[in-house]
Amino acid sequence: MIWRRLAWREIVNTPKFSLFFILNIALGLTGFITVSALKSSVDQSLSGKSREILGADIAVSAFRALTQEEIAGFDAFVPRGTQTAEEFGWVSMVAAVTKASNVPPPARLMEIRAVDPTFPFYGQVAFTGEDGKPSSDAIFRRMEQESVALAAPELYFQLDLKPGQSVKIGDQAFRLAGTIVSDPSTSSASFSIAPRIYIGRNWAKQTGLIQRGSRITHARQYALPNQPAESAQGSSQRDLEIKFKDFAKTRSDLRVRSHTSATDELGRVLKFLGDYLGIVALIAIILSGIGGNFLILAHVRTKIRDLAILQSIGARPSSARWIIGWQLIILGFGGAVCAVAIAAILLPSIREILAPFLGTAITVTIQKDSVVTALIMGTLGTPIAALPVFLHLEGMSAATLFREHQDPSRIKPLGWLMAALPSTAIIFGLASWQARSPKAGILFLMITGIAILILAGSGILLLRSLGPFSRLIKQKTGRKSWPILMALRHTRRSGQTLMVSFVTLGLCAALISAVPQIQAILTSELTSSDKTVLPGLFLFDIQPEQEAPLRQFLESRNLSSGSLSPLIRARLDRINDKITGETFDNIPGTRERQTEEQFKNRTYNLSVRGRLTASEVLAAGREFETVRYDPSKQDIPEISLEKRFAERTRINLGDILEFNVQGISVKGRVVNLRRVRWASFQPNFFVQFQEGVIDDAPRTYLGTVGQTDFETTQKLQRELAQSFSNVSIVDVKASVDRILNISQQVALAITAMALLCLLAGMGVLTAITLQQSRARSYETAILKVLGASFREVYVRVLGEAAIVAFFAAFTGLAISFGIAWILSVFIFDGVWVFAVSAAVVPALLIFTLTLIITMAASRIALGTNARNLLQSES
Amino acid sequence: MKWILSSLFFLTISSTAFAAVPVVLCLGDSLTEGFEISPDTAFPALLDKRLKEKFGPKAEAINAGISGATSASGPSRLKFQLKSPKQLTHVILALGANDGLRGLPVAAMKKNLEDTIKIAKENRIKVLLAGMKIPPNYGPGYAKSFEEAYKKIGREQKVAVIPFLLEGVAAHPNLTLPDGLHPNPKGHRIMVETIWKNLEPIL
Repeated sequence: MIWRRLAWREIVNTPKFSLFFILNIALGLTGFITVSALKSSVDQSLSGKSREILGADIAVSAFRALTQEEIAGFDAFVPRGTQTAEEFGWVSMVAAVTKASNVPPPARLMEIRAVDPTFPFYGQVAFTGEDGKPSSDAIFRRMEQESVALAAPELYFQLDLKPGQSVKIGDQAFRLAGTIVSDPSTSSASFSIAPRIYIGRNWAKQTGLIQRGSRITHARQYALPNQPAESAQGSSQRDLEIKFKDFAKTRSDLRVRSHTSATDELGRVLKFLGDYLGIVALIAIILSGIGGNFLILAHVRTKIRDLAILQSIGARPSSARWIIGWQLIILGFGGAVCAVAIAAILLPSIREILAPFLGTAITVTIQKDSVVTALIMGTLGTPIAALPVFLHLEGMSAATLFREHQDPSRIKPLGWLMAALPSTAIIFGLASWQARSPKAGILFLMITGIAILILAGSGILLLRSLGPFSRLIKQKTGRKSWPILMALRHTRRSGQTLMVSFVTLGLCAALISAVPQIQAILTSELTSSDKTVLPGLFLFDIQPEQEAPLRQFLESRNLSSGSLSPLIRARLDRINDKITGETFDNIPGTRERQTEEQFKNRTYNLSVRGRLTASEVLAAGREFETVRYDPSKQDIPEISLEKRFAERTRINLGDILEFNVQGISVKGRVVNLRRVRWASFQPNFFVQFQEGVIDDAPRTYLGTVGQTDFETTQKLQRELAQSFSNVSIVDVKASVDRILNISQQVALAITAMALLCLLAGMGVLTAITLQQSRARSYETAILKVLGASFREVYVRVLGEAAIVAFFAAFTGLAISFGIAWILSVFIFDGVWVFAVSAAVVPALLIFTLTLIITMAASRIALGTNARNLLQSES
Repeated sequence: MKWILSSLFFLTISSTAFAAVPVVLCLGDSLTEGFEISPDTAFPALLDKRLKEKFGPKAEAINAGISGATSASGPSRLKFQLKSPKQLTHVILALGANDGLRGLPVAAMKKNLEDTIKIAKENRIKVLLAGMKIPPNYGPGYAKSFEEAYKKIGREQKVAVIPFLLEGVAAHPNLTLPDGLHPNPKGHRIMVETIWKNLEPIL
């Protein structure tokens, strides 16, 4: 264990290096641990919200009563202590109970939910009582005993009723005991066309509406025991869902929903968040690895002489590797422990910042697996990542002592690649684990590899261009600017050292600048655009002759009509003259192929749009040649497809599609694929034709009306129903707000993580720059001894640092655009925003920080006695 | 006698010459379109086959079903079909189910169907109105007035009415899709029998 002792002595004797190294490792791993903790708590918070939407962990439903055999079958899967509840759901015409019996009171369509007293298992339905004040009554228990109902505010408005009055549902009257204020179970996935009323399940039969032929949803809900700790039992929940679905497989009319599937519309948001946090955590670790390697290499350079002495007095060649290896293990472990400590200190503050957005019940705790990973990464990952540096020690001999420069030996590219293989495998494993996909692992390795190659190439170009540049300055200024010339000359001569600094700084800059860019991309995707008006109402089934009057109707009320999009039903008959209308049962091949064919065989709602709207982005191809189809100039009409639709149906750009529109064949060529901005909430279509192609085809219009206050919306709904009785109106405000709210929480978490990663990155950069400045102090001392003035030395050192930092930061910046674009295409569904400012700021920060640190370190070096500097470096 | 014989000959010739081959337009919603099933198994395709068997290859049933369509779309869609070179002889008007499911006013639905029938009559197209019932959960009052509207239209407009298009299909799980609402191919086979029973007398 002599090497361990020597390694420890080395750590103690080089406190500056040890401190930088620990700081570097600690910063990277702190980022990793913090991101993991936040990722887990955000998952937990959103998972809680998804449970509230379903009101249970898992539910089974059908448009018929479940059989005793089915109930027993499902019940057998759930653990002991699971709570169950049942529910009936249906729509019905509901009228006010009035004394006058001659004229039947007006009835309106309402959604009835007949629930058990335990409803809901998760979340809370907030409501006001008959007095209009917030109530904390156990209303669902009361519903079991009395014929009382809890109704949405729209019901009161539509039926002109007040709390305390009664409504008749079927044959039974119900007293309106309260008004719903917020209902977490209002699913954002399915917009309801009718306001909701809750009644007790045991009163459902009294309505007389549950009979043969009635369309009633019968649901059985399950709440698993020990939910607070359930996040750790995620797999058991998934297993349960699989068992339920397997059991229901032979009964096609049964529907199994888990709390996660209840929030499918949030699935994309959660996937984005998970992927993003995974990438950020990985970037933090890679930055730490880059910084660590740089520091080790710099350290090894300074220690070559010591190690050669050790070898000349009898130590084996492997001794140097053992000493440095142990040194790295100890320092890495120290860094990891520091990271855990820093994360533990930081997390309560992060929790405080995020609590208003993610809920006060949010718990941000350090995850055990991330601590274990951090300790392993710090202790074992550090020496593994440093394997390429060990190659520099190969072939070292006592002769090294007699060389003027104790440069480490040059290494062969193949050897370097072999040594880099284990750390590459670690990065791949981590990337795959964090992003939950090997694709992400490969992508990350490719990105890092390509970035290093570009930086190395740029570094070589920089080196070569410094010579001509020096000559140009010399011609123009003579010897006046000798400090600058010295800086240029020194930078040019420093060769390998410059390349390492350049690649390290450039890679840091690329990764750091990519983080806020991806953040900007995702934030723009998750939050609504100013260009589109958020809808409050969706209007369906607007007839062609109603289009103009409806526009007039809305404009006369100063309401934004949003968009009125034509909707034309058509069946896709042929793709490139190949018939798609195979009978489903006879499709040969795999299940996936059958699904794909079925998707192709289905009838779609087409639309007609000459140009892309604000909620659409061109993903491939070109815009329509002309807004309106011109048969004299175009051989065939043009079609635009939604990108994911095209991928699912394997339709490519240039394909000819033939649709059957009410018996009339219409052909078109796919000229572009477009991505729909998810957060716009505007009507969008899979297939869009140029204008003028199917103008005569039977169509209806789909419209949106911008958000207004409750009173205006209700008044508008009533007036719309009077003037356009066939037009169905769906109030989407609550659902849109709910999705936006969660998206904004995710966007905030993403922004917070971007800042955290930036901080960690800057920390690593600080460590690297300080090490570089330290390396320059030896030259500073030499120049001082040779009689150079303060200003001359200062300009030379600063000039050299500025050249490297400037080119590295801005080459990194250019690469970061590529990184952000590649990640956006392959991981984030092709969402892309050219976020220049988001990227330039970190690059400028990197450049400025490097200069400030160099200036500070140079001032210290210049203020120090040259003898002391030379002694400290020897 | 000669005059009578020649008159009879003329009547025979003229009735043969003017008895057009039936071209039946099935103007409806998802029940007509064949929601979630192959178009070959939906009732318009089955009717088409039967018409061809009975009246030869020129006879035809056209599927003009659009999922989600309400009665309001009837007039404009029929006008669109009238632009077709095909000489429509009959229309099976199978709209209104979505009006009922959305709880739209029955009076408005009645007017829309009447307007569509008027257009058909103006173009000398015989109408078979496919009656519909709304599930009992919508409430007895609404369900009753909805069902009666079809009978009333039949009486007032003097058109043939199928009492209930989904007779023998609705509420039979083995004849409907998992949604419990739309008929499966077996259900469509029963529907075509119901239609044929009411269509044949007016062909």
